[in-house]
Amino acid sequence: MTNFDMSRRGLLGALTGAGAAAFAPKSWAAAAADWTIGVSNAPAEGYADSAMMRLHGRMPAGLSGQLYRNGPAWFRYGDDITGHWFDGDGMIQRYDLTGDGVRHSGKFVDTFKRRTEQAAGRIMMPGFGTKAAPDAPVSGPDDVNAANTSVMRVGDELWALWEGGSPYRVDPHSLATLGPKTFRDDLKGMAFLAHPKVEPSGRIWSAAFMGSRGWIWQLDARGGLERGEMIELPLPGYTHDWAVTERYLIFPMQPWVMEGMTVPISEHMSWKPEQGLQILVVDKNDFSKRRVYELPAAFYFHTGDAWEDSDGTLHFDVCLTATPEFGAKGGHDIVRGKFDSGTAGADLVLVSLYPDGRAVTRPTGVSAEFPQTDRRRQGLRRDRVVHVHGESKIHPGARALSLFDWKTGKRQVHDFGADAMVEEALFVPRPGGTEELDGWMVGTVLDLKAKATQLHVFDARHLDDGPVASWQGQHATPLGFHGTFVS
Amino acid sequence: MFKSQLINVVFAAALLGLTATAAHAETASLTVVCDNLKPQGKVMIAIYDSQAGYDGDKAVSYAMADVTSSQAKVTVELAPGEYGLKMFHDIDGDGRMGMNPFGMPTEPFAFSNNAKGNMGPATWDAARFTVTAPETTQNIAF
Repeated sequence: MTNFDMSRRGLLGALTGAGAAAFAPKSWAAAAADWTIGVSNAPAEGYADSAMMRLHGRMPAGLSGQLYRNGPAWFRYGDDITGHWFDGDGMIQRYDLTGDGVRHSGKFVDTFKRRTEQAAGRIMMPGFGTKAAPDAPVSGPDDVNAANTSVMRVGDELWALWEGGSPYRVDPHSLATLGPKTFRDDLKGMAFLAHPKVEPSGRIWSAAFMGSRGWIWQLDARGGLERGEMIELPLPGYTHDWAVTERYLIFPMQPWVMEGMTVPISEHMSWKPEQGLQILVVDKNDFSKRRVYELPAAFYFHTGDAWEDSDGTLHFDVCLTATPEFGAKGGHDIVRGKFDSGTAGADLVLVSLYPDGRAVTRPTGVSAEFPQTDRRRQGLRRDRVVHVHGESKIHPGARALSLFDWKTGKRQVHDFGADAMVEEALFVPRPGGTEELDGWMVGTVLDLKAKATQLHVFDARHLDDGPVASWQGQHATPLGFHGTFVS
Repeated sequence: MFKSQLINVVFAAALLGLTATAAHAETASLTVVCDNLKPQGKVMIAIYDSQAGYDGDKAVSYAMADVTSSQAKVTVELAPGEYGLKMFHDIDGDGRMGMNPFGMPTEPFAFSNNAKGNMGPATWDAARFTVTAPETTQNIAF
């Protein structure tokens, strides 16, 4: 593994475009095909518990717990391939970190969709980019729920999250599936975003969208329903992730509008840049108190977190792209082994919403995805964001982990190299520590050369020192999306 | 990272709209046996005798059965011929099919022949069946 830090220009050159091509050994071409192990079926029975092999370093004192990650892990029955990466069946990976090292196990979420398709031996259920089979038994959103996007710990349960249906309840120890979560009988099947926001108090916020209507979930720390209310959206657009501050809920609605009531959804979404990116800000205490800010049209999947200045200005970090092209098309191609580097890549941007109604973006020119922060500060002032970085031209995803400081503009980067597909890394606080990012970043990397998934631990404030400890598992697990760390 | 939240839209159309009334015709009896029920409330059944009626929710008759065990049974008299059924389990006994705030069903529903809907009600072609004298039975698995 190599560490480096250099000027932005030099870095971008090395990590993208001509720089990479100029230095690329010929063997990269062969390695390029190997990335498809990240979108290959995992074993139907899951991964039995096994020890990961220590590559270097030691588990830092004070770091222990479980990293749970979720992602699509079943894509095909023979030549019958799902219509989109986002429609693969969700699988929970569990990494158990102790002083003795790391153990890994994994299990599919046993959804109705998965059971139905496994029994039939073919792709049947409609999804984001998948057509329904004529005999698909669909009576509601949870029948097509892939439970494949994220996982959170609530009380004694894990919730495997999608965004078009209910959370799927999973036992955190056995990873056995317990079934969809119903918050109240009359709310059965209401969607729940894959990016709920947890306040420092433990209160959970989430949302659901349908057309120009939005539903806001307010839950207590144990997952009990405190409040659920409908709101009107400024446009029937799209939001995958969002942000909260101490006082406000922030929904940046992208002008990606569904036309007609048909699936696959990805083929019926229309990009309407003339409508702009409309950012709805709602008062947590009174959902009727709202304000809409507007920016030129842009697309994103992920936000960092938001905070509010004493003068009322709101800020949040977000990974912006010009259009939703990757979401619409890239995910269809990836599960077919096709990758167009032109459709990938988002830029890290800080959006500021001023009391006088102005919305301003501060682009960085830094490629970024899966932004993460010190979640003890969810909704509160903080300076730093950690994200994956550096698109590869030869495989989907990023090859580096990076930190950006909004106050100083300084960055840190650890480049895992051309063979790495770097997944989301989560912040784990050091017990007793209070300073921002006093703790570790724990994340996984699919190493194409080793054909194995690795787990790396960084000192969160010193990413550029490289991982302090690393382990390598016995399997190449399919690429995941999001997770949670339970200390 | 994806966006199937919008799949909700697809379920937005109400699948069933039933109200309880009663009507009778003579000659053949149709028995509907419903299984896999939670023992409470009622099963509400709407009976249609044509594709137009089925598609337009214009029932020729209705039936209902109290649910006191996992099975509920009801018999109605009909003229022999072709029919289709839409039914739901009115668990809370309010006489309406429960919907969540986005208009998606929250109470179990079914169609004759155990036909399954695909992003909406089962089609007339999948649900239609023939009632013949003296007796015809539909076994429905909820």
